[in-house]
Amino acid sequence: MTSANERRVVIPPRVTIPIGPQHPALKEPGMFKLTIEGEYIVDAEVNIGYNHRGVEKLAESNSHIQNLYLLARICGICSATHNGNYAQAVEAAAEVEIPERAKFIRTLVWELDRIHSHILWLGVAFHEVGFDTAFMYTWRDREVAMDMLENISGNRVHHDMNTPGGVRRDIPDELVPKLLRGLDKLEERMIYYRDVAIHEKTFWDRVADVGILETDVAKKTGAVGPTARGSNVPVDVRFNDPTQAYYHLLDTGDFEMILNDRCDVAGRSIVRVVETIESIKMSRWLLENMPDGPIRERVRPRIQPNEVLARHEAPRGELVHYLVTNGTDKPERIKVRAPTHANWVSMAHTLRGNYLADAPIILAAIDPCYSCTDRVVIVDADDETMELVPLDVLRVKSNKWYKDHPRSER
Amino acid sequence: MPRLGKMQKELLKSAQSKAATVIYPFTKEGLNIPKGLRGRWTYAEPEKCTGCKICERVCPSGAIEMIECRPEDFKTKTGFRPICHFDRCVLCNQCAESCPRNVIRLDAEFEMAFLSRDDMVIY
Repeated sequence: MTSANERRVVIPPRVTIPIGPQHPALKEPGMFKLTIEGEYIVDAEVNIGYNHRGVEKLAESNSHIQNLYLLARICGICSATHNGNYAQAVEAAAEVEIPERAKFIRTLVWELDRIHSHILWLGVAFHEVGFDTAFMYTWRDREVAMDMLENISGNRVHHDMNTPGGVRRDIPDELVPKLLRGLDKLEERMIYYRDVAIHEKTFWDRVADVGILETDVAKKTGAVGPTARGSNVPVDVRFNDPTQAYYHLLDTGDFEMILNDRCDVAGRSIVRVVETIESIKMSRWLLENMPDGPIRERVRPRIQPNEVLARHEAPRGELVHYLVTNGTDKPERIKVRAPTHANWVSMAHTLRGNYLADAPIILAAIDPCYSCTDRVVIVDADDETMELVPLDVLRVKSNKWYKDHPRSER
Repeated sequence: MPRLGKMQKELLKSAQSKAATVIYPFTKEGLNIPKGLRGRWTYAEPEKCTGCKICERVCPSGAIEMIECRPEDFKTKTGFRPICHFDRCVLCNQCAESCPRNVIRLDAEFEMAFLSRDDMVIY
């Protein structure tokens, strides 16, 4: 035993804690190096690249129809968005206009996908803060959305509804009342979960003022989706650059972009929950106003040389597919910029200054999808060269840059 | 008395309601399998098949292989018939959709666990 006769100031040592690549708090592999002082995170470094599957390269050797199924499997939760956005890109490259009913069905599946993805996120958020009861309840109610998607498409997770030129399955008239009943139930439950998220202290005290991402930082780091909208940045492709049936939805004037100015994890939670209710209303409008007619247009397999950038608001944010076609039935190049890839950049900033115990919920707050990310291409704007850069080369380059531009000079 | 939280009332209500899950392997009631489920691959109507190999060409995962018709098979026009290596199948239904004669179908059967790879070749 030591006696403390004199007062000493103890400065906690800086410790670097690696979380991942395999860690109980992470559902998918990713690595976060958190430098902590006592309980505070002073620095964070995000390493990704553990889930590279070479999807883009594989897509270059597949035909467009095969790519629809390959790209849908980039991500299990937002499979409809990858699938639909690629179909949209191929149609734009083939310069084909798809029938109205197909547009409505495609948008409906996208919105249902958003509903189930946001409820899933809410459950994960409840789980990360240790509120497992609500986690079980939300996931039980998520099944309603999953069953609706299963009824429409024939599969719970991989809906594969789209094909170049339209959708693959029609929604029969006898299914519509069933879907509307499901939406009513979902809306009632989501209003309840909104109140739980806001009024239940078990959740609110863990997320309020945690993981602050200021509006200017969100803009500077290029955050997208609910992460940006939770910081009051109005980015939503559905409203900024509408495609498919979103034109008709916006024309009604009943729907608006959900924004929140709290800038913390609570803000992002509110955006997601309220957006789910908005999505349910959108789905109901789409079902009630669905036009009659054919559901697909024939698109020839060989697609003329074209260059397309297709955008879509996935549940996690803006999804970009860049497609170059070359006159054959295979793409020349397909580049996927998944929303999580854009949100990683702001991650290190949101982690700094928080408690270590809050790290899981801050990580979960961007709704990370590890499988979607993992690629870097450097494009030189001066001589228009493109270069695929592996991680180690990038590290050497960045070290060199920092050597030439020391922090003190900037 | 402390105020009840948002969840407690719901908890008490749920304690009385029936279970949300089904004891699946013992009962199949309440599974609600939809009509258009994309399940097990079936070579449903061999007598219509011409052996045109479209299904093999469109398959995104290379699950379908064209083999020469065995003696017990229906003899197609080209002498080939599709078989499915079900371990590779991603259940996308593209083969059934591309088939000009509706020979292939994905049935509503969803119990697709096998003990060996050889069992997963569907003739």
